[in-house]
Amino acid sequence: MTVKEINILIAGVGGQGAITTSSILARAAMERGMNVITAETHGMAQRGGSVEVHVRMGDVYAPLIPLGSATFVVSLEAVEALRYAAYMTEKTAIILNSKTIRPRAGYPDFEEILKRLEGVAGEITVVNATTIAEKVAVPQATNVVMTGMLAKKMERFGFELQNFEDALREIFPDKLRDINLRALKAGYGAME
Amino acid sequence: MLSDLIKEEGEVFLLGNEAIARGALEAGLDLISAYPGTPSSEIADSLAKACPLLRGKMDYYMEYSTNEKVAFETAIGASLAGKRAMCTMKHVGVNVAADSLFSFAYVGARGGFVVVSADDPSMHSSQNEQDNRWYGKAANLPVLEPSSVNEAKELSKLSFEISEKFGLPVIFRTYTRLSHSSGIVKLGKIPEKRIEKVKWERKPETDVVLPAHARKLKPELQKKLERIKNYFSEFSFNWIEEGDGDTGVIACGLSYAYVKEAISNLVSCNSDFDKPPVLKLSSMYPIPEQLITKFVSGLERVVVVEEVDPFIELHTRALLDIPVLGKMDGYLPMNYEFSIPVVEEGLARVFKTETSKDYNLIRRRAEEIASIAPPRPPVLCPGCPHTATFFAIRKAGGEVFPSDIGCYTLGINKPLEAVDTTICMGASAGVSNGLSYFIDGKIVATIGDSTFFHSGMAPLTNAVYNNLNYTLVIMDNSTTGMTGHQPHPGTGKNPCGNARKVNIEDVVRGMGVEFVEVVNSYNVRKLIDVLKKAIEYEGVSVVISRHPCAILWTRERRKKGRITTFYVTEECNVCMECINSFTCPAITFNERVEIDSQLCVGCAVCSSICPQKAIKPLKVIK
Ligand SMILES: Cc1ncc(C[n+]2csc(CCOP(=O)(O)OP(=O)(O)O)c2C)c(N)n1
Repeated sequence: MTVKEINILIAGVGGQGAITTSSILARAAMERGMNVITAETHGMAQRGGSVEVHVRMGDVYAPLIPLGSATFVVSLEAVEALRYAAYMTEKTAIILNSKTIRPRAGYPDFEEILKRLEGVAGEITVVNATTIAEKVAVPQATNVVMTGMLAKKMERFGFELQNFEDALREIFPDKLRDINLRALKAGYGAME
Repeated sequence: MLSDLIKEEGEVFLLGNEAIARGALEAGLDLISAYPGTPSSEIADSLAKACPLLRGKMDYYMEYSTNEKVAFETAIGASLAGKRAMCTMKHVGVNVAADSLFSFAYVGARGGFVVVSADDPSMHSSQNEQDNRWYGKAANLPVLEPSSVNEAKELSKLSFEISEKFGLPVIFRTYTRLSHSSGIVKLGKIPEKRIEKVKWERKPETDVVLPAHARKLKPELQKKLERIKNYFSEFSFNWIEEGDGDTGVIACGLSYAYVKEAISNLVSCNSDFDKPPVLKLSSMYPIPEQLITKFVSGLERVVVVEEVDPFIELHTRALLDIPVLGKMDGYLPMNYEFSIPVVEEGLARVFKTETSKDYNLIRRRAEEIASIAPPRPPVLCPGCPHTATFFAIRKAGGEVFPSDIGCYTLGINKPLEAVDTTICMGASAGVSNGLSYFIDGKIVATIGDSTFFHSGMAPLTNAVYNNLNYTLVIMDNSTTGMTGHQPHPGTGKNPCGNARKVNIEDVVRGMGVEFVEVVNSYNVRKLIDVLKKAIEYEGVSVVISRHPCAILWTRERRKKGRITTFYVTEECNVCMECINSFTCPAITFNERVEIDSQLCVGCAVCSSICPQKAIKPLKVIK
């Protein structure tokens, strides 16, 4: 199966591991012999700020996903997905962590978040990935749980869980490997 | 990843900045000198980490220098010794190094010399959007610009050869979107190499830029540039892609990526749109005139796609007698970084066709959807010593607040509001000099420790010399926090070699400052007392507010064991002092004042400033 292009936007808050997620995805793509480019936000957005990472696979050149072209949006925190509506289309599948991180400026109603996203995206899967991460690993593994969910979704592009497991083994040092493999599988399982 | 950066062979996934570092390793780099600055920092940071791992196989010196001018000159020394040197800096760093750059162009490189300028279109983390290709034009030096992560590696390596071949320092221009993108890189070999000392060869006729020498060197430089211009017309990183129609596209650096995808989008949605010919450019200066002339033969007009200034556009206009379109007549935007949609819109204007999507509609709709998302502005971290220092400065009666660049620039925000000016590094003390002549008010300037060593010493000496009256608070968190915790002279650390510690208080006293006090930033009461005295003092006074950066401090304590967090007791009468005067991301107010134990790092500052003594360490209740 040849895939022309897969665009994945990972949204989250500083410290949630959006960049690590992108590294796993990139290596999974490499396992499949695909070209891949990622783009991350650094600098001022680092501490407690919003973080977005773009992952583009296939026949692509530019680091950022063009507007209206995301295949997947993985939102590690609920409200963060709203900021990236410009990348979504009716073909976009969102995986949304229902866990919230509330800034001082307040927080919108969860139903309202969903309603707005439903207006732009084709499909939304809402899961409390943080609860799953707490159960099988540690809350810090929320990003890996969500990577597992995405792995399931990416089967339609020919990806296999194995690709993500191999990628994960490359990235994490020995002592964190098992716990993250558990998180990955739990996320994958949650989508079945 | 570090392991990929130093891998022997194969294909690996690298950050753009790591790719630049890898190119330097493959070129057999002898020295890397740098002053950190986003988006350049990871080049030197990764070479700092790789340095001890490669020792004995591929030896090189690595230093964080005190500022960019020093980094540049350290690299000049290496080049004059016939060694290969790279110095890295953010775009504004080149302004600091510019004096050396202009003269070294006359002297010329002996060992390969590459200065990496990391520009920041859209000003993601910078004070301006300057386009450093102008430095090539102004100083008569070649400028290279890669279009992808893999090319960043290849060009970085080749830059050293170009520098040696033409005897010129090379300006390697990267920018945020490339430096902070990752891509697949095909590795070449890292040579085995030891460093040997060499004998100094005197060449005063080129190395001493006396006016008499400089007058001879200038035409020599121009000749070198002429030769390199011809070389760039044959350069393998510039190429022509065939296409149809009478309009050509010149795509510069990363804009090539945008052009490729924008054209493919336009082709997919317009049956009458044919792919135009494209000239991909990675040499920005001198302009490869023959290549451009060859490209446009048979064309009726060209459009230049490049980020920030219309640099190639202006040069191409001067070169050609056909219309040159681009930024100057509004086809493409003059400001901010490009993207596929921006370039597609520009090309659609040029070719009078439709974009593949209605991007404006998408933008408008997205703005509406995002309108309910609460902002998450960057804030000073929980436990940040800068917060305590700013709080104390306000309590001590400071009135005028010249400040500087670093994490502490966030002291601009409510409720601290103790940052009134930020111009460039070192300007806190510099601007205070001028303000102190005219402003009726207590001037308390703030500067970070790394910034002090970078460019704060000269203006402070000026204050002593001219007998000016203000207080300079040096916020010493023992690191360069803003750019990712690089060491500096005050830390006494160096990732790759020996280092000695330079004491800030010794330096300040040595300059002749008579009022010098060092206070622990977390000891707010004492800090307020000392600041009051410093403000009253006639003449320049310096207060060093010292506590390690909360991130590093917390990381250390986590390794050792648990951290004592704090909580708000029933005695709290909601006076709001901890929120409205002091502030901390861990302290929240929702009918009651509360401390988020996940965020609290146990600095105890809120507890010490609470008028009710209502904030206590959590372990007490156990
Ligand atoms: C000429 C120049 N070089 C580099 C930078 C990037 N930069 C911004 S702040 C900073 C240093 C911050 O360190 P410090 O003064 O110790 O303050 P901290 O962030 O630790 O509070 C640097 C290197 C810059 N803005 N200008």
